[in-house]
Amino acid sequence: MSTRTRPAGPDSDAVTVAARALDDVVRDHLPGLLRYATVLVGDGHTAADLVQEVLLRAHVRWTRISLMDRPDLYLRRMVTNEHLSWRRRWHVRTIQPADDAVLASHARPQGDHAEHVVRDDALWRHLTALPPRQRAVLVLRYYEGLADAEIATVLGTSGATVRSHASRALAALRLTDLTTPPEDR
Amino acid sequence: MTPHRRVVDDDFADRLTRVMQDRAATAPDVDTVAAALRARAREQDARPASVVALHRGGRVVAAGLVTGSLAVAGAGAAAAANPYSEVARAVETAVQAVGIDWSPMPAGYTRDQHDAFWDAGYVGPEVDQLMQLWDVDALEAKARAGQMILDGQEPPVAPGPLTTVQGAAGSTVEYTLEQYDALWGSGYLYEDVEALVALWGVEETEAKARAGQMILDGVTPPVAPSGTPEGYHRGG
Repeated sequence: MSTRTRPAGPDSDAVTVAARALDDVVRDHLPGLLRYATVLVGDGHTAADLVQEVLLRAHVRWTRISLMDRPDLYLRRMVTNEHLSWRRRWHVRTIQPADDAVLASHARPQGDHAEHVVRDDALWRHLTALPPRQRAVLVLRYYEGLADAEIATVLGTSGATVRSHASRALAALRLTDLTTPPEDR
Repeated sequence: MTPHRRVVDDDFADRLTRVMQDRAATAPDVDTVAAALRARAREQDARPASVVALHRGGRVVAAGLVTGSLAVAGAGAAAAANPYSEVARAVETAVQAVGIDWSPMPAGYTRDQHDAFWDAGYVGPEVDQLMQLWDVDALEAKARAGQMILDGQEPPVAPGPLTTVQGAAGSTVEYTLEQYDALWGSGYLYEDVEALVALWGVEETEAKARAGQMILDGVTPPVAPSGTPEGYHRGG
């Protein structure tokens, strides 16, 4: 059987169309998806891998995806599903919380700097310990700023399930967040 | 929900958002991921059909053979469909660890050659130049160049810039791997780049290229890095 490949040069119409589609995807969606994936999975390397896998699949059928009402939500759904799927399949992509120095470098300067760093570090670690779907709900709600109906679209579930996940996740976070005053837990 | 509870929730929500935004600031460089994505898209287009990838050097090795306790038949098929994915890499490692001679990589193109080629900083356009120079297809070009790197030789075409943009002054600006490593390896963070963008009145890529080149030239950029160089690794 021959292993020769078909030409991959820029003269190929299909390649040109695909390249344009990829340019569109990169320009309009890559930055946001990378940030979302980084928050979702916790580290940049895995986020880059995951987003690449998704966009490699998405760009070849971009014409269809771009005609959707919310292609941005569809791509987030693909990224989220890929993340959940990887976790199920391999169980090796564990979250590695950054050390204090890294987090300190990203912390905002207002208020008591050291206190903010410690509190945020603890909150991030509690966040990473949540079940994946609960965490995804919180990332979509508090980082992406999506409404519960939009989150339901991303996760392929109902609004009630989203609210349930969010409620459980917030309760767990408050319970473990040592900086939350006892009367407010 | 009581008003008091609402206030508490808002405060907690603000903290959650802040923590996530801080984490988002550690996202990998968009230009680098875009370059890798374009390169992989070109590879994806150039690679043979998956059924071909299952035949290596006359040894017919079907994904169906990779079964039993590993239970990776489906994963094997997925690996063959995209031999450059992390899934493929994991499957390859798993099956080879138990003595099965199987790889999702196309014939004549090894994992080591693939890694050596892309780790050297090649982005994609150079593949075309190597193909023309050697009069071979894309896989053989990458295999040859990757093997040369493994053997300590320099391929006849050097890695090009990560990306090229139109600069604010109208000239072409190249953002190279060396500039990328210099910038991020010095502890610069995205907020620093944003400050440079504002200061110089240029686009983000040009700011990164200019600052990276200043560091390479031993000149201190006008905005100091907010982070530390420790733990820098390309792409993350």
